[in-house]
Amino acid sequence: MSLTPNETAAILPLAIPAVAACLIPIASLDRDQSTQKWIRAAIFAIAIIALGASFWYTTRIWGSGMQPSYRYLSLDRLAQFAAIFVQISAVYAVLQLWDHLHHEGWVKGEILALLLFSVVGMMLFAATSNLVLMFLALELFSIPLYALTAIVRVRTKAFEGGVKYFLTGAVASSCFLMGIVLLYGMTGSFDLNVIAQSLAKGVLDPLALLGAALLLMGFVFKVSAAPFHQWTPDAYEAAPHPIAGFMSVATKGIAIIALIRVFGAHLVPIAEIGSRAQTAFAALAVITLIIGNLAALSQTNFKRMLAYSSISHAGYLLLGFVAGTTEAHQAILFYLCSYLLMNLGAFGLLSAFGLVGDDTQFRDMRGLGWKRPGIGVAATICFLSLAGIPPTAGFIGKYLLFKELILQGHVVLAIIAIVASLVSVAYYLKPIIAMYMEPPKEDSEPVIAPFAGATVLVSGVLIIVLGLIPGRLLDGLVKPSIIQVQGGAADAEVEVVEISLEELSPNQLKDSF
Amino acid sequence: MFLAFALITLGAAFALFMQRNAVQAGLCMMLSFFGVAGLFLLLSNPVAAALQVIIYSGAITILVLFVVMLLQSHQEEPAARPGLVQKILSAVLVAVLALGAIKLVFSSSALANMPLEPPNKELMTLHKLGEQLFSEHIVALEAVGLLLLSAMVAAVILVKKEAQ
Repeated sequence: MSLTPNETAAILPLAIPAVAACLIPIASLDRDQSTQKWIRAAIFAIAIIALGASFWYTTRIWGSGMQPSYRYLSLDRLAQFAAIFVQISAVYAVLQLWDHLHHEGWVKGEILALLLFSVVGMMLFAATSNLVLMFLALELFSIPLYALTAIVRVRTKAFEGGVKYFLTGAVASSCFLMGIVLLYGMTGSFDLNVIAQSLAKGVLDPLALLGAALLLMGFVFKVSAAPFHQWTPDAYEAAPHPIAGFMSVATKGIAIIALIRVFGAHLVPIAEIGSRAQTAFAALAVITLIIGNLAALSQTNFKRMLAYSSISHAGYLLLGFVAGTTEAHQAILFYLCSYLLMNLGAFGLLSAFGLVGDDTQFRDMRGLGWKRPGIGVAATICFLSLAGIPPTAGFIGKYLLFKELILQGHVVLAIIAIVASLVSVAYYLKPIIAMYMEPPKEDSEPVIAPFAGATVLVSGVLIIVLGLIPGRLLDGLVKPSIIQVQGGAADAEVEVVEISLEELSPNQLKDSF
Repeated sequence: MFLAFALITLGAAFALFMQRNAVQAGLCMMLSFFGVAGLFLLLSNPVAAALQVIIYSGAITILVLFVVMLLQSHQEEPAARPGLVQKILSAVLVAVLALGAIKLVFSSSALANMPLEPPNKELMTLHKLGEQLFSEHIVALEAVGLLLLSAMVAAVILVKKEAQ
């Protein structure tokens, strides 16, 4: 079997981390990894190099404007955006894991292998419009995450959180699968384009509607929006901090991006599904915002607070689907970018301060802002951005979303969302107060966490940069991803693939790489 | 025929839930899988039926039974008895869901108009299946490979004993 360069280009960004994920368990067979630092460093280096290579390759594809595809795997602009998004959050997680696992005294190479498997699954999830492949990708990124949640077995709550996540996740997967089955039964195809075309004809069958609803349920679970959010605080509390950060950012992000593809681009344009989906999105968003923000207010555990805050962010993101326009989808993607920086920064703070165990309270961080001024300021920026205060990236993200919501006439929803984000200021101030206004613990010895500290600092700087000049990211990365997928309704998408196959001769490809 | 197989499947699944003995529950599961295999046969899809028997009734059930026997917990601990209110509530909920599903199926016009014969019967041979798997669905096949590997790594790391 031979592959054309176009097909190779589609496979490589996924294949590189997949191969690394297979190598790492072999490297971590070495019994000396618990004593020899260089073996551990080599394992982490494999992961970082693989992610970096995949990132570099994906950005090259992005730069050349190609949309390579291989069978049902099609790396269009939206998929490339998703890949870059996941790769960056994975690099954050790996860097923070190095410090966090050493603090915890539980360094295992397999953790990185599972993380990379999950990364491959996420990239695949966003890069296909075939529902079977989508389901397999969903499992491929979920199953490693179930294990990662419970992986630090020295923690008391690890197993409990992992099992809870696994059981609820299994229910969500079966909902997703049942939805696929019903849609296949009604249309005779697994391909979203064909499904959308054949559903658009004639009267919509109630079974097809049920299928779409079940599919949505699976997504909502992965986004961790209410009423399917109960697993979130327990799972985040049990998981190592960087893994919790990765779960909150990458899982949510990838589910939202796939939601744009499945619902935004294919199912919502069908009038009968579209109107109902809009109502469903609005109801889900409002419940999620209320539950997430109110529950976050009463938390004393830092990670549980972040878990509820991530639930409420799911609410803001779902509001974008209520508006449902191209601009709204662009706003969602921008919001995701800022969410990546601020949430991974906030979770990274835990690793940077060297907090271990599953019960990290606000009071564990008291006075640390003065002791580690750089990280303190950067983390403060992250929290202000999560609360949506200008001039941060979080503010721009919310502004774009709410503007689109108001333009589409959903003023009440916008008001609810604004009130919710005002409420959220209260609980985002808690860690800041703990860091700066409470007396420090006397005993503590200095914590060594160079990588985790660096990730928090980078986040802080980038949030401010994005908040001041959002235009570059918007025009460079966010807008192209959405234009392509919107234009990709049925016929147009087939055309795009054909053109890219014909036009891109091997020589041209060599030039562009 | 259809009714017989459907009843076997449903009855065995129901017995699976009611059974307190884990080994017997495993055997009920096997019976239920056989019922599904029969349904596949009725759909004139012998390949799927054979795979169902080999993989589900054979491999998976045996594996489950092995695990149960290795753990030596044939008798499950009696769980907390659900209260009467819970029982009634769950019964009502199940009844409503079942009725809703039946009503949906009967009200579906697309289902009524569906042809009885499968559109491409010749696809349902082992030869064609293999060809399809390794050409059209090759990405999915690779994804399944990665999925199994990751599940295995996850299982090993979760139960591996510490050296100390």
